[in-house]
Amino acid sequence: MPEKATILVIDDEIAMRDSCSQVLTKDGFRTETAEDGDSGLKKIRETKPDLVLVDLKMPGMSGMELLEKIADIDPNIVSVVITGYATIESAVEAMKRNAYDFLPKPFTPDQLRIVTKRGLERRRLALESAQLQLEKEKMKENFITLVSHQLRSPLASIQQYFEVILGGFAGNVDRKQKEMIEQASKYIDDLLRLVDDWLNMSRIEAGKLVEKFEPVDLVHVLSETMELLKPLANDKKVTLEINSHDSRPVVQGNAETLKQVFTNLISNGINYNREGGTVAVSTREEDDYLAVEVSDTGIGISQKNLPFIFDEFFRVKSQKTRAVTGSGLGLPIAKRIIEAHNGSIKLTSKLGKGSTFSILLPNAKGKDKSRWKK
Amino acid sequence: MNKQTKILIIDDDYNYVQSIRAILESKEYTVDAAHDRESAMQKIVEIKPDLILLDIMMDRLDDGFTICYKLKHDSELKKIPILTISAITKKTGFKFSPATDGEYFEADDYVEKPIKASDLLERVEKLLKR
Repeated sequence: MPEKATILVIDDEIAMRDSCSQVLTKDGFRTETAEDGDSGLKKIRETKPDLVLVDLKMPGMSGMELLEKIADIDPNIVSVVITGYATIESAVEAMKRNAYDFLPKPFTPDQLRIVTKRGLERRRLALESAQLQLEKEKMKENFITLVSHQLRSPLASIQQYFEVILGGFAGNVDRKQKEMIEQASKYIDDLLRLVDDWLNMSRIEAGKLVEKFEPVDLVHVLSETMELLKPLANDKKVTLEINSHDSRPVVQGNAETLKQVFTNLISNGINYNREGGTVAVSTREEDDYLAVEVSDTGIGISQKNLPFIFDEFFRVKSQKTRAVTGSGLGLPIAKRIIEAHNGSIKLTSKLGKGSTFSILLPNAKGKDKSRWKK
Repeated sequence: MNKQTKILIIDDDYNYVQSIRAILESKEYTVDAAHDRESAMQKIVEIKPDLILLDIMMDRLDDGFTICYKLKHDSELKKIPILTISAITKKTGFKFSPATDGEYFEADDYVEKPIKASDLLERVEKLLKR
C-alpha cells in the first residue's frame, strides 16, 4: 500500500461527502468523493482506493448492488457502509456482499477515524497475505522446476553416453557389452519416466487443472488413446474394443489429462493381460454423470491388494507382474486427475479373471452444468 | 565437406558436451564448446558458428533464454540457427518451444535431453540447409 491511503466516499448527500472528506483529508488521507453508484464505480477504477465508504440509500444504483460490484472489481478493497437506516437485516445483507464494517449515521469524526483505521489495517493484512500466497506458489513452482532439472540432467547425460556408445561413435562394442548397456539404458528410461510422473503428480496437486477446462468429446479422446495403444496391444496379442452406445458424451474437463488417465488404464489393461485377451472400453450416459468402464481379462488383483491400488508407489509384486515396469504413480495420477474433474474412480477385480475400472464424470450436458464450470 | 561447418555447443554439463561432440564429429563437423553465458557470447562473436546447440538452465535458470534473445535481436548474429536442447520439459511450467512461444523464444528448433543420435544429426542437417 502506498504511504498515503486513498479513501472514496460515495454518498448522495453533499454535506456527508464534505464532512467525511474534511475529517479524512486532515488526517492525511487522499480523499475522493462520488454522488452515486455509477460515478462511484468510475472513480474506483480511476483512483484504485484502499477503502470505500458506501451510503446504502442513494438514487439510482442501490448501495447493496454497489457493494457487490466493488467486490467484483477487487475483493481486497475494504467497503464500509454508512447509513441512516441501520437495521440488523441491512447489516447482514451488506456483510454478505463483502462489506467489512457498518457505521450508522450520524457518527462523530472520532467514530469515522476508528472505523477507517480498522478498515485500512484489514486491507494491509489482506494484501500482505495475498502477496505471501503468491510467493509461496511461486516457490513451489520453482522448486518443482529445479528438482526436475537436477534429476533429469544427470540421467539425460548418462543416457546420452549410452546412445553414443551403442551408436558406435566411441569405437566398437561387442555383443555382450551391447546387451548390458541396452539393459542399463532401459533402467535410465524408467527413471526418466518416474521423474516425469512425479512432476505430473506435483502439477496436478498445484490445482492448476481447472483453469484449462473446456467441453471435451469423451469418445474422441478414447478413440485417440486406443489408436495410440494399438501397437502395444498387437505386441501383446490383446484385442481393444470400444462401445459408446452411439452417443457422444461431453464432459467439462481437460482433454490432455483425461487422455493421460485413459492411456494409463488401457495400457495397464494390456500389460497385465493374457495372450488373446481383451481390453473393453464402454461409455454410458446417466442422469448427471457419464460412466466410463475399462475392463480387461487379465491377471486381476487380489482382495488383499485392492485397497492399496491407488496409493503412491504401490505395486503388486508377483511372478506375473515382474515383467511389467512402472513407477507406481500411474493410478494415483489417474485418481487425482479424475478427482480434479469432480469425478470418481473405483476398481473391482477378481484374481485370475480380470479388472474393471469404473469412472464417473459430471455430464456437461446436465441440467446444472454451471456447477462444474467453477 | 562438413569440416568447414562449425557447430558451437553451449552447455554447462561437460559430460553432455562430450557425448554430443562424439556424435557430431562422427559426421566430421568442426565442434567447439562453451560452458557459460559469458564465454558463449565471446565465442559466438569470435568463431561465427554455422549452428548453435543451446542448453537453457546453466549457472542461472534463464541463461539459455538470455543468449537466445541476444542473438535473435542482433542484426548480424540472428542468422545463426539455434537448436535448444534442454532437460527441462514443458511440464515444468516453463512453456517454451518455437511452435508455442515463437514470440518470446525465437529458437529455431527445440528438443528434450536425451536425444537419439540419428534425430540429432537429422535436425542439425535440416537447420544447416536453411
